[in-house]
Amino acid sequence: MKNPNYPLKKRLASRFLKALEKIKYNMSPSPVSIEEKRRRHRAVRGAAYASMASSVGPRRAWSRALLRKMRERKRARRNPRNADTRFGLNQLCDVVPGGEAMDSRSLLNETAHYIECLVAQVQIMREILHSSSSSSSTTL
Amino acid sequence: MDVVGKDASVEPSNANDDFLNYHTPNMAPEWQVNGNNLTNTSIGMMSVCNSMVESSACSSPSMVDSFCPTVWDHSINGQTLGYCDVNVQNDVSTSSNLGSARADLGWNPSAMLRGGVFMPPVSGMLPNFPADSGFIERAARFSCFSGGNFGEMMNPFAVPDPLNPFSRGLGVAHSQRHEMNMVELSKEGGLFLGKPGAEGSPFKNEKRSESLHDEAKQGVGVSGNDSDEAECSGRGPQEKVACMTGESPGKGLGPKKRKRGGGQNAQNDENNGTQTRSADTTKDTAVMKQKGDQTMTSNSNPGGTNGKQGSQGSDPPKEDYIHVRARRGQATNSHSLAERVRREKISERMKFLQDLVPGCSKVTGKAVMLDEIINYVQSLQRQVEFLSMKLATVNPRLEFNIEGFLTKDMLQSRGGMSSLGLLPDMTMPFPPIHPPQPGLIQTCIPSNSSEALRRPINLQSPSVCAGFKEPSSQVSNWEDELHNVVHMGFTSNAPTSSQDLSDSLPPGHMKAEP
Repeated sequence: MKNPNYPLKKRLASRFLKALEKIKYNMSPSPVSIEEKRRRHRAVRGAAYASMASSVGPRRAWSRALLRKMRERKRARRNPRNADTRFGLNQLCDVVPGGEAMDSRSLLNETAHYIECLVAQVQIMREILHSSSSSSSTTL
Repeated sequence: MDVVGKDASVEPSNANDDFLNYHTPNMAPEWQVNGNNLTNTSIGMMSVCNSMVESSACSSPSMVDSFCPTVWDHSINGQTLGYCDVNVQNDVSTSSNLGSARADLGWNPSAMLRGGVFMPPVSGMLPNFPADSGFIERAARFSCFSGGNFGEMMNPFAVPDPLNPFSRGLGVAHSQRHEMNMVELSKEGGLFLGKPGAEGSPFKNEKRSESLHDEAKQGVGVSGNDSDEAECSGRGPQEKVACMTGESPGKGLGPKKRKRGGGQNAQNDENNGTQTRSADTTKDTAVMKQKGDQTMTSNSNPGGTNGKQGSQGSDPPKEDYIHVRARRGQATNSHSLAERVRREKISERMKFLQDLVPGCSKVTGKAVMLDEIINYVQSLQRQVEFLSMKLATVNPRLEFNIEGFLTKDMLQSRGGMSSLGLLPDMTMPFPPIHPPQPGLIQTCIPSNSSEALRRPINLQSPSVCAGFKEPSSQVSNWEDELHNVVHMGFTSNAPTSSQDLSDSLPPGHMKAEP
C-alpha cells in the first residue's frame, strides 16, 4: 500500500477547490430548478475528475484519457449534452478511463493509480463537505 | 430391514463392480467387520441417506449430516479413531459451517457428527464411494495410522499450502492435521471412481502415513507424464494422492487444482469430467503457478525421482530476455514461457491491487479479484458522484477558507515536518481506536455512503476518512490532519485529535469563520 500520498492530495485539494470556486462563482447560490441542480452536479463531478486528471498530469494513461475527454467536452460545452455519464462503468477497461487501449498489465497499473487518486479525491470531497456542513451547522 | 440381510450376503463381494449400488451392501461389509451397528442402528437411515446422496450429489451438508451420521456411525464405531478424525477434517475443510465441530471432535469415537461431517465433502463421491472397497480398506487402514501418521501426512501440506493461495480453503483445515488427510482421502475416493478396485490394490498394501507421499511419487513415476508430474509437484501431497490412483495424473490434478482454487466445490469435478483434466491441467498449472505457487511447484516435484526438490536442479534454464527458469514438466517453448512471464507479472499487479482494494486479501482467483476491483472502482466513482452532488448543493461561501486552510496546511505540512512528525505521536491514540471503528465503518458504509457521510460527522475523524480502507492508519493520519485543520478553521469542535493537533500547529491556523 502506498504511503499516504501527500503531494498528490495537496495537488488534488488545491485544484479541486479552485474548480469548485469557479463553479460557485458561475452559479447561483441556491439552484432552483432541477436542471440547474443537475448541471451543477455534473460540473462538480467534472471538476473532481478534472482536478484528478490535472494533478496527475499526463503521466498516467488514465489521466491522459480523462484530459482528452475533458477537452472534448469543453468544446462541446456550448451545446450541453449528457455526455458525462460515460466515465466508463462497465468492465475494468471501461472503468478506468482510457482503458480500452491498454494491455492488461498496464491496465492494472493504471487501475491501481486510479484507485489511489479516486480515494484521495473522495476523501478531499468528504472533508470539504464535512467542514462546510459543520461550519454551516455552527453558523446556522 | 432387508438391507441388513443384503449386507451379510454381499459381504464377500466387496470387490465386485456392484459398488455403484450405493446402498449399504457395499459399505456394510466393511463396516460390519468391526461392529454390528448396522443391524442395530437404523439402516433405513442409511438407505435414506444413500438415496439422498444419490439424488443430489452435492446435497447440502446439513441434510447429509442429518441423515448420514447414522450411516457413518456404524462405521465410526467400528473404525478406529483415526478415521473419524479424518472424516471430521474432510468436512471441516469443505464446509465451514461445521467448523465449530472441529475442535470438539477430537478422538471421540462416539461422535456421530463426525460421520455426518464426513459426508458433505464426500457427498459428491458418495455414490461411488462405497464402490471402492479398496478405498474402504485403505480408510480402515488409515484409521489405524492415526495420530502420528496424520502429522506426517500433514507436513507436506503444511509447507506448500501457505504458499498456495488456492489452498486456503484447505489452509483453514491446516490447523487440523486430520483435515488434510481427509481431504486426501476424499480425493482418493473421488479418484477411485473411475477405476473401482483397480487402483485400490496398490494402495492397500501401503501404509497410510508414508504411503501417500510415496504413492504419489510412484504414481507420478508410473504416469511417466511430465506435465502431470509438474502438476503433481504443484499440488504437493494432495496431487500426489491424486497421482497415486494411477489414473492419468492430469485427471486427478485437474479437480485438485480446481479444488484448491475454488474451494471444495470442485470435488464434484472429480467425479465428472476426468477426461478433460489432462487438457486443463497444463493451463491450470500455469494459472496455479501464477498464483504464487511457484516455489512450491519448483520444489515439490515428485517426478519419477525421489525427493521433492529433485527436479529443481534438473530444469535447464530457458532463455528469455528475462531469465525464466522453465519448471519441470512445463512446456518449454518460447511461447509458453513468455506467456508465463506475462502472467506472472500480471499476477504481481493483481497482488498489488489486492492491497489497494480493501478486504481483498482473502479473495483468491483472478476473476474474483477483478470483480472486486471493478466493484471498488465503481463504488469510488459513485462516491465521487454523490459527493459532487452534495457539494454542488452546498453553499459556496466556505470555499475560500477551505482553500486557504488546506493549501496553507499542506504547505505547512510540507515545509514543516514537525507537524507531520507530531502526527505519528498523535496517531498513537488512534490505532486503538481504529480497529473498532473500521469495523463500524465497514458495516455502515454503503457504496452510496449517504449514511457514511452523516456518521463520520459524529464519529471521530480517523474513522470517517478511513472509509474503505481498513489498514488506513496512514490515510487517517492525513485525514486527521486535514479534518482537524479544517475543523479548527471553522471553530467546529473537532474530536480530541484536533486538540492535540492544535497544540502542534501554529496558532495562526486558528481562524475564526468570517
